[in-house]
Order: sequence, then C-alpha cells, then structure tokens
Amino acid sequence: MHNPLNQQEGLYPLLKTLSELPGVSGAEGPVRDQIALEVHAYADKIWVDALGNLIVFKKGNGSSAKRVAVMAHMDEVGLVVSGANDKGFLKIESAGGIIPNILVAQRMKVGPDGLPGIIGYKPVHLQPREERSKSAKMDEIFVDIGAKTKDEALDKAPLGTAISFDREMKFVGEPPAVMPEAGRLPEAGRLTGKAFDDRLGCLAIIALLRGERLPYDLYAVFTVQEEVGLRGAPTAAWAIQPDIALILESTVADDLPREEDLSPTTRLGQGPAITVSDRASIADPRLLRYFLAKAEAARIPLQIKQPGVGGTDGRAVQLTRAGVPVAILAVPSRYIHSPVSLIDLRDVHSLLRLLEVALPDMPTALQMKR
Amino acid sequence: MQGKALLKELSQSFGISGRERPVREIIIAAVEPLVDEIQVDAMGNIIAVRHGEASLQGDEPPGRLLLTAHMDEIGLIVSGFWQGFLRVHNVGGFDRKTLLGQEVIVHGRKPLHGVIGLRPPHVSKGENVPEMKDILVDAGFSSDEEARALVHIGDPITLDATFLELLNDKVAGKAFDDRACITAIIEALRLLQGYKHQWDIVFLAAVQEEVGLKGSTTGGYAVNPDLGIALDVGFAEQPGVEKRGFPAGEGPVLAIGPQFHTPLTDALQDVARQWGISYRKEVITGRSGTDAWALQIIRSGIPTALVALSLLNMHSVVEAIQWQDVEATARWMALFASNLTAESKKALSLSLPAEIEEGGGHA
Repeated sequence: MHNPLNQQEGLYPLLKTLSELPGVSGAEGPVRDQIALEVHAYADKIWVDALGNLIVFKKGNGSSAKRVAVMAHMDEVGLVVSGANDKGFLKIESAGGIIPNILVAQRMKVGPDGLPGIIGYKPVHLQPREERSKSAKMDEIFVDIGAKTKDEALDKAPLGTAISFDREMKFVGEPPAVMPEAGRLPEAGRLTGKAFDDRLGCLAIIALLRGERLPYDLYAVFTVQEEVGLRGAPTAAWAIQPDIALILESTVADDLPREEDLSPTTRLGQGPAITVSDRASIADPRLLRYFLAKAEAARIPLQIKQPGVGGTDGRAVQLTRAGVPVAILAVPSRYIHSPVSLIDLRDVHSLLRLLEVALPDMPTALQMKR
Repeated sequence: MQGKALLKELSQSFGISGRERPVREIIIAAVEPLVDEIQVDAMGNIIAVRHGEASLQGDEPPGRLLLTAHMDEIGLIVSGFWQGFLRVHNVGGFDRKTLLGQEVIVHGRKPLHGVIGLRPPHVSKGENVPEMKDILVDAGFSSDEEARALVHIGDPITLDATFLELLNDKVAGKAFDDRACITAIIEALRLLQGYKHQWDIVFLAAVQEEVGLKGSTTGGYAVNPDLGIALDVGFAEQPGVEKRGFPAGEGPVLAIGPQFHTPLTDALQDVARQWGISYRKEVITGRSGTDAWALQIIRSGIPTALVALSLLNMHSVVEAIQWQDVEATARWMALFASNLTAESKKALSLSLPAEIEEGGGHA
C-alpha cells in the first residue's frame, strides 16, 4: 500500500526533535547522530566522511542509471566561545550570519551538555536616549552561565565550545484542535522555533529515505558547515559524483507588511520556493522547468524565490569536478537565523507532495533542451 | 509553593501593569497560610496582615511595619492590526532590542502564542533598532479579520520566558523585577512563623509600579504604617554596568540618602550587623524610581527605607539574581520585624531636643 511522504508517521515529533537539537556549524554531532538513527534501517550503505557529512546510499530499482544526490545541511547559526572576562562572562564569536540585536536577552544552550546561559545587556535605564536606538555590537555580547571567575567559565565552557539558541518548537496562534494520529504532520498551522534552516530539509530527506525506492541510485547527504561558507557540500559531492543534485532548504520569507512595496523574497503559505538564481548560484534551467511543470500538473503550490537573496550548498555542488546540474527547493521561513523562525505547515506538505510526484522521473529533465 | 519554586511560578505567571490578576492569584495562594488578614483593594493591591503578639491578645499593636514590593511586570498591549500582524504599545520601559527574537503570549480570547521577529541578515544589516511603532507581533494570522476574531485592541501581551537555573545558584527569568522581592517578603513572613514579633507586619503587594508607582500610592495610604520598607531591584554589576552596579551575591543593598529615614536605615543596619547579614550601601540622592519614592510622602509622611536586590539585565526576559540574596533579604526583614518592640516607634522617630516638651512652645 502506498504511503505518501507527507503522511508518514512520526514526522511531527521528528521535526520538533530536529529543530530543538543543538548543531551549530562545526558541532553538528547531536543532529548527525539523531538522523543516522532515524535512517540507517533504510540505507544500503551509510557513512560519515572526513568533514562530518552524513551520507546515506539507497540503491535504485534499476530503471535509471543516473546518480542523484539530495542534500540538506545539518548545521545552524550560533555562537562559539572565544574567551571569558574576569567576572566569568563568556566572550563569543558568531558562527554564521547573526544580527547582534537578536542575541540580546536570549537564553542559550552552551556545549554538548546544554548548560543554560543567558545573554544580558546594559539595562535600558542606564542607556542615554540616543543609545537606545543604536544596535548592539557583537563585542558587547557575553554569555552568562553563572560562573564567578574566568577559570570557572573556561572550565565549564572551553574555547571553541558551541552555543546554540535554546528554544522549543511551538505553534503560534492556536494549535490544531486535534493533532493527527501517530505523530503525522498537522495539515495546517504555523510553527515557530530555531534551526528550521535547515532541519526542514533534513526532515524531507529522512521522509524520502523511508519512502519507496526510486528508479535511480539515491545519495542522501546531510552536510556540515553550510552556514560558515558551504564547507561540507563540495567534498560530499566530489565523492558521490552525482548527475543531478537537489538541494532542500529553508529560505527567507521577508513578507511582513511594510510601508514601501519591497520584495518579500518568498511568502509564507504559498508553497515551497524554487530558486532561479540567488547570490551564489543559477539553477539548471531544465530542472527548474521540470519542477514547475510537475507542480502545475499536480496542482501543488510552488512559488519562485525572488532572485538575489541568500546562497546555498547549491553553489558548492554545482562547481564540483566538471559541474553538476542543481535545483534548489526551499520551505519559506520568516525570521530565519533567529530563535523565532516561523513556518507554515502547508508549505512543508507541499514540498513533500512535490518530491513525491517529481522525484521518480527527475533524470528525464536532463533530456530537455537547456 | 515556597523558595525558588515560588519565584519560578511568579516569574512565569502574567501580570502587566493594570492587568495583574493572574499573578495576584498566585501571591494570594502563597501568602494566605502565613497571614491573619488578607484583602484586595480597589486598585488590585494585595494587603495582607500578619498579627503580632499584641494583636493576637486583642490589644492594640505597638506599631505596624509595612513591607512592600510590586507584582506588575512590563509588557505590551495590542494597539492595532496590519495584514494579520498585531501592532503594539509598550507598558513600562523597554530596550526595544530585548524584544527582538522573543516569544510572547497574547492574552486574547484565549492565550495565543506569538513571536517578535527580525528581518534576517540576508536582507537587512540590522543597523537600526526598530521603533516601537514598527514592532509587530506575529501570532500566525493571515489577515486582520482572522486576528480580530481572537484578539481585541487593548489585550495585554506578556513576554514568555523559561525560568533558568545557572551555575552557583544564579537564576534567570522574566519579571524578577519585582517578583524576586515579592518572594523575599513571602519568605520573610514564613520565617516569622518561627519568631515572636510584637508589631503587626503588613505586606503590600502593589500594582502598577512600572507605570508610575500607582499601587503603592493608594495602598500605602490605606495601610498608613508606622514604618515602611520598599523592596525593589537595583542594578547588578555586569558588562556595561561596571560603575553603577553592585556585585550580585554579596547581599542586599540598602539605600542611603535624603529620602530614606535615617533612624530606620540605622536600625536596619544594627540588625544586619547583630545577625551577621552582609549588605551593601548605595547612596541615592534623587528619585529612586521605586515605590519608596511614593511611600515617603503619603498622608503626613511615612518613615521609609529602600532595600534592593541586585539584578542583572533589568527589564528583559533574562533578568538574573543570585538566589542567596533573596534568602538574605528575607532573613534580614524577618529579623528586623521581630526586633521591633513597644519602644521602637518612639526610638525610630525624629524628635525635638530633649529639653523641649513635645507640643509645647513659647506660649
């Protein structure tokens, strides 16, 4: 009996787990371990490469000789301990793009044991009026774990310790009156939490691996260090030598009302977004046309990401060896790179439905004219 | 519910200025077993009285000591709708940076979870802190119509934050200003169960401090105590607050200055020295920004002192204190209360030189 990807059991608690796990760039271990446990039963081969990418091979049913890589990154933006002051406050550097204002008054998890920490700031009462409108600077950001001295701070959180946002995934507004059985994804509703960029991509690939065998050999790649400069993807792609790479992401939805009519990049609730071009790469035109046609035929909402914003592992993969045709699909998220990113579950369903209808024949896209 | 667990519950409860009912109910439940009388006044203040030995015998108490702290917290209020997003006004003073990336609870027809986001670095350099008018609460609505079905203009919004225990008995959360001091007073009342005291001890849990010291103004009038001690938070030493702050964990801070009644502050210090309670002193010559400012000039004047708990990150959801400062404050207040005698009222009052008869004159 056919079980659609978006109706798989346990996807909702799995998304919550993936979102809440710490996995700052370079410290993706907890996420990698969790994903490996979720997928190893469906793998024909599973391994971790030199940089920490998790690669899962699932053999095709033989009707296509192509090799396809589907990729998502495990890492999230966060902080790294770079020192401590004499009063025991941790100094930090950011890993990935974070606006310092978002860090003010946040609670954080420090290190692999998730030691609680807070980021304070000079009280408003002590800021002269003109200072209140000034943005925080990274060198004003300290993480307070309660340590009393420099030694105690660096003993509990040595240099290089990763620090992630501490945030539970929750519904905004009203949660569904009745949650679906067996942990299936609710049909609608909006969720807030951290690291949807790109644990949503990871979730979609896990669903794919659990699903039916595809006509071609599938390499599912969960990459490291995307947020610090696309470090993990190129080495995995080099090893795999795919004919096609599909990048699954979560991308900017900048669709808040504003006085001027500015580009929203993507809008929540209008389906996943396919990239034509961003700051890092231009998508393969055949794959782009292929996905748009498949979505239209199956009446699945699919929006085109307005060009010029962001960059993904797609760039790194495209430039691997002699080049790889790449497509990028992403779930829109408001407030990404913050602990309150916000997604619409309908877009997750639409992505999974699109993968369901479009993936089996994807290699035929390469026969189209460019 | 007592001690740190009580602070946690109070911190995670709701009560922006003028809408304090949820936190008031928790305070009443916690304090009721410790007092002989309890009432809620017209403004929503809680006035709770623990009788001293004299009152228990049916006699007039030799004096009445007021301990007060405020229950309200800073928050937001819904001021309008825009394409499904909520526009807000602040109730109390915020650093707007502390609102970005936070979770909130919109107290609409039912409690609704929401967030305040920020445009990501991909499309914004984050050079400016948004003005209050540009801060939008996202509770997941797609249209104003959808929002208006559950939310009304004027509905309160509280920040949502988990209570955290850090290393070395440091704790963090929202609304420690001033619920850490509410906790300290309740713990003092608990300690007084084990001490004899002559005076009646009155606990005023005040409303609307953050919008202009309003609850203590009317509550202090109603109580009309012989001595008053306001407990509030002060600035702790932290990055950016090297000069003005006191190190958290080194005991409560006693305010010294013109508005603080000298015999009362002296008596507090005598008790602290006698019982080995460490404390610090801070000179404040102008507005303290606390309920002590209101209390001092109620009716014909109330001898008033101010005791402060050193707090990091004031007016944010990661306000932090050293728990031992709460315990020391509770012990100090309880010992001071139980040391008040039939003579204390006179001993702690400002008076004429001994050779002049009170009420006398040239005639």
